[in-house]
Amino acid sequence: MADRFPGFVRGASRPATIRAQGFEDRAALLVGTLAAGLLVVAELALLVGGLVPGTFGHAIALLGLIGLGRVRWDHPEGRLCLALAVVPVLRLASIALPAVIIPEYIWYVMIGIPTFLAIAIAARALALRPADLGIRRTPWREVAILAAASAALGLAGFVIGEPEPLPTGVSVTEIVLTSLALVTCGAFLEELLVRGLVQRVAAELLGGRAVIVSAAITGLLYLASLNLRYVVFMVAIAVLLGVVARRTGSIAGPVAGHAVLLWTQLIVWPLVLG
Amino acid sequence: MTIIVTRFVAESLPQTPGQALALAVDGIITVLVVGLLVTRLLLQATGPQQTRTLRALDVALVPLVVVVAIFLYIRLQEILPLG
Repeated sequence: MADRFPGFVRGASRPATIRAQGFEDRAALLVGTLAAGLLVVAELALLVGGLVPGTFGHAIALLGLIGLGRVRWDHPEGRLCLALAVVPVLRLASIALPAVIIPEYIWYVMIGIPTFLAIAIAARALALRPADLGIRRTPWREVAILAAASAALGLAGFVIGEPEPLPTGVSVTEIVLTSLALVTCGAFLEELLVRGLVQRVAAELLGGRAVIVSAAITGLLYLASLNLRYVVFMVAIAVLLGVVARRTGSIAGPVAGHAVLLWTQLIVWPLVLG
Repeated sequence: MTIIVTRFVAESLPQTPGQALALAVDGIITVLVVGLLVTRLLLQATGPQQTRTLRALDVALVPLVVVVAIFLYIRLQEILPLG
């Protein structure tokens, strides 16, 4: 393993220092460009064309990324394509599964189950252990600082994102269940995918610049919020969380920060300010 | 809204069981899953040398089978009261 992926240290207690290969050959650059193009076109097809063109776009992107990943299996760019293949899986689930007869907090769980599964299967195919995905201990102070900062950023997110107000007469049970769904299938899932999987695998190719890849994926997926200011806000947050994840080698801090951000932005401030 | 549940999709949801059944999205995903399943079975039949391809296919196939199972359940829940 260590021979194939420089910097990969099995059983390391500290995050491995990943030496980026970079776009040394044209093939890597071509594959990287194709992968990015597939995802951008798919998301634009969704936003411009609607649900059906978007579904087609993401189905094609999924097949393309799987194909590129298989063809360049032993190369970092091929591994990145396999990691990125989870993104269209997430989007296909998020297009197909929401339904008006199901409460919104259950949407998160329904979309989360296949996406967690996709992350686990991709990680297994890429020979990544939980610790490689950033599931490891980190100093509590780091987590506490990020969570506290995110509580303040939650107000900014509420103002910029203009979330839907909570339904009138919403029960305490529903608020608790929604909060749990947001933390597990919102914050944890997003961080595991974007910072844990994509950024980790992108670092094999790009080193520290992998933070840009994870922030770009975050920005691309937040385009569907239909709010450009919110996209910029979330990309800035993504850069911060990406830097923390890279520095600590753990996603504990980013998960805590993201969870508090979502919780305050979508639950607390709508309850307090209406 | 998050990247999991987006405002765009939430605003485009079919409002009645009839509209939901007529939505082409479910059909596209089902065709994709069937295509991936057939490809996987054919590759598996050719022998053990396709392990890497099978692993790559599973990244798409397994979660999408779960997606199909969930939306079939939801569609049933939508139309059962009508019966």
